[in-house]
Amino acid sequence: MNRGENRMKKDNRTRAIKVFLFLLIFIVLERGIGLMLMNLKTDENRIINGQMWDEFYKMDKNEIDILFQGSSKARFAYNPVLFDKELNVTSFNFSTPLQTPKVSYYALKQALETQTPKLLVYDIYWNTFGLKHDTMPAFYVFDSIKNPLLKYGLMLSTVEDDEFASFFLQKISTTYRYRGNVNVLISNVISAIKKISGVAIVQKKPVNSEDYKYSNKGFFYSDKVFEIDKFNFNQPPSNFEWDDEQFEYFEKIIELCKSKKIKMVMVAAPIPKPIVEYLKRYDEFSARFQYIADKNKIEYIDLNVINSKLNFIGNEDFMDSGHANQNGSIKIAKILIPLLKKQIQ
Amino acid sequence: MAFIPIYLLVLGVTITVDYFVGIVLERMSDNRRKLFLILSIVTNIGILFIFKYFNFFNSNIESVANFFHWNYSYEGLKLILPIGLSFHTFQSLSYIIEVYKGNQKAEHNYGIFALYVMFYPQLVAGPIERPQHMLHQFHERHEFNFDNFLDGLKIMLWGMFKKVVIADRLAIFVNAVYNNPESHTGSSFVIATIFFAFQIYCDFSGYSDIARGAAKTMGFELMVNFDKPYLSKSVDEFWKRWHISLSSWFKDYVYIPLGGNRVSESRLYFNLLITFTLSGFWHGANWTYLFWGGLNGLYLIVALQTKRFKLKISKVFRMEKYSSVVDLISIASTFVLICFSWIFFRAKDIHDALYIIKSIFLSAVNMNFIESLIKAANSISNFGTVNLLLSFILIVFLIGIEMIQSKIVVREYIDSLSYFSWAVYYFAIISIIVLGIFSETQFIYFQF
Repeated sequence: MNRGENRMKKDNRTRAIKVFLFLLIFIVLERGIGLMLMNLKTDENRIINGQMWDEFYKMDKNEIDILFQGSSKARFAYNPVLFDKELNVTSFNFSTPLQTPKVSYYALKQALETQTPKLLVYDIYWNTFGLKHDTMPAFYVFDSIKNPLLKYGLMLSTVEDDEFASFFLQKISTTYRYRGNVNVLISNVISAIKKISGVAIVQKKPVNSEDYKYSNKGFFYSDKVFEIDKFNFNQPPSNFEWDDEQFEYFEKIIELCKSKKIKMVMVAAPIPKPIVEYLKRYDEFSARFQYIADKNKIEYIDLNVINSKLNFIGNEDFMDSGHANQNGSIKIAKILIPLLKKQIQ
Repeated sequence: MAFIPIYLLVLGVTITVDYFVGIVLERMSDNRRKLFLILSIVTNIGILFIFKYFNFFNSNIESVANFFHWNYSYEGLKLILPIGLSFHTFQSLSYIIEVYKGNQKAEHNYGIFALYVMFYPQLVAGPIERPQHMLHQFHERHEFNFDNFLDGLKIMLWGMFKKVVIADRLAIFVNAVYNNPESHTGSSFVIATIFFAFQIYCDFSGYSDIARGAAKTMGFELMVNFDKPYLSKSVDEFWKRWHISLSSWFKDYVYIPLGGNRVSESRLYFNLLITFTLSGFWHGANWTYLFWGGLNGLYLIVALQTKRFKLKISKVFRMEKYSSVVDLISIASTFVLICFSWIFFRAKDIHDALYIIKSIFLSAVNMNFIESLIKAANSISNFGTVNLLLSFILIVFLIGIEMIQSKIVVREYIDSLSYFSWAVYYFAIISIIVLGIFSETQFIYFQF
């Protein structure tokens, strides 16, 4: 082997080492910066969702009798502890923010790997049946799904082409995942500068720290009361259109329950009466779900319709325009328990 | 604009026609050569016309017909613009013209010619290469070269930084203001226009850098398309530094054949106006682009007319003593003129452009400029004061780098710092990860 070849080999070896070192240092640096950003602000949603799923996975196999599933409306409406006590069952609330039928399908499939409930109570929130882009709802569930096929099936069916890079980066890069916290860093720097220069600082109320708390079994609660006079009734409701794909996945959920011999009930958790009136199209929404329920011989319990007749829940029983507070969840349980009793007998 | 597989046929047609025309032109020596040249030009421009300009002319003819109460009801074509059509059409045309002139030998290898037209780094948004610069590279052997690979990655890194950290950030504010002009005031328009100037520069030069870097990793050299355009001291200089591949194309194939500057004064002005108006029209089928192009032509005409006057003033006031100040004023005034023309480029239509200009002048003396700007920034979703501040910092940073670049080659200087250069690259990559805007904003010039 001549000198030239030896030198080339040596050069290549040096380059390979340099590339390896560069990448290694970068990975360490990226991780370090990511952890630093993560610690700037606690991501409560992420922590809470993680707690809920951890609790779920710790339950014994086939322990759950009733599974509640739906969006954040459901996670505030249905307190499993109340249902367990009255119905002598074990239930769990498997709801996550804005959970669409597409996301529910994958979450349910994961849940059914370790549980075979007698009854699935699926909360109907019309808005989730019109969501074309459900990357964010998927994100709340993605991390907690253990089955890799389900995990990536969820990703492929929810992430849009132009969101793929972002979604993928969030998975592989800690820095990218917590980059939103850079605003906290910049705000801290600006506050420090203002402090030094004697400018008064207005303390921003942290979001979510006192608005609600996590109880257990997937149930969230709040003691806040909906301030209806602050709701802007002059602004018309946003344009809403059904998304056929969400209905396809809802049919898949129905089929899945049938195949596993799980009874299913569709329930629409209540919202404040003035908001039902404000929506104007609520009758149309309810009718559509009634049609699906009739077609599949499933019971559909619309608590807004029941409330319009019985007035069992008032504005003071909600924390905002869409979520029940703790008092509201008790009233919901009172009405729903006798109706569900018939389903599990 | 889109990639639709059947549109590969369009590319196939232009490649095939120009391939054969090139060979024929080389073999022929009589007047029939001109016919084949015209055939190629008609094919290329014809395809461009159908996809890009037909509906524009159709709707304008319809407007004229309606004005005169004539019967005209021809529906427009429902065609999506094939990706990169404007760019590869011009690249193909430059090949044919150079072969016709005898400056370039015809390419006899169909595959190589096809590769020349659709070389992927520059297919979508340029630079529009010349055959003398590109074709021979496809005949050379390209083995993996580590230094080229690294250099290419570094150039791409800078391009990516300009695009996702600067351009896409500025785009949030620009789009919010320009897409809803009636909701904003003069101060917002001023800043949005300045932001747009840097957005379009970082977007397009960022893409060009990514294209150049990608080509370099494979051992190919693409031409530099931007040369610190906002440091230009005149509009004439600006057009020698901005989108160099396009402006040189129009100079060589439109301006010079019209006579260039070797004609009478009035004819020279006509040549300038036509060249720049056509250049504006190349960007899109809209009156705003025509106006933008024409306005830049007008700037050059006025500059020519006032050249002697400016020289006299310079002598009288002995401005050579204050050359730095004069340069600064020249750069600033050129920037203002260019920004003014960008209003037409970015506005949805002439009506919006005029509304924006009127608002800028009416609120020229606005005591609450900063306050109303902060209010505007806070009203824009995902923007806010932090992004406003960051945008200004990034613009200053960019200008700083460009000014340094005019003295030294920044990349070479960084590399000379040995292991410290790694810190610079880590900073760039982490900045892209942390500050990059990864939403659905595509490259601006993809739509042309």
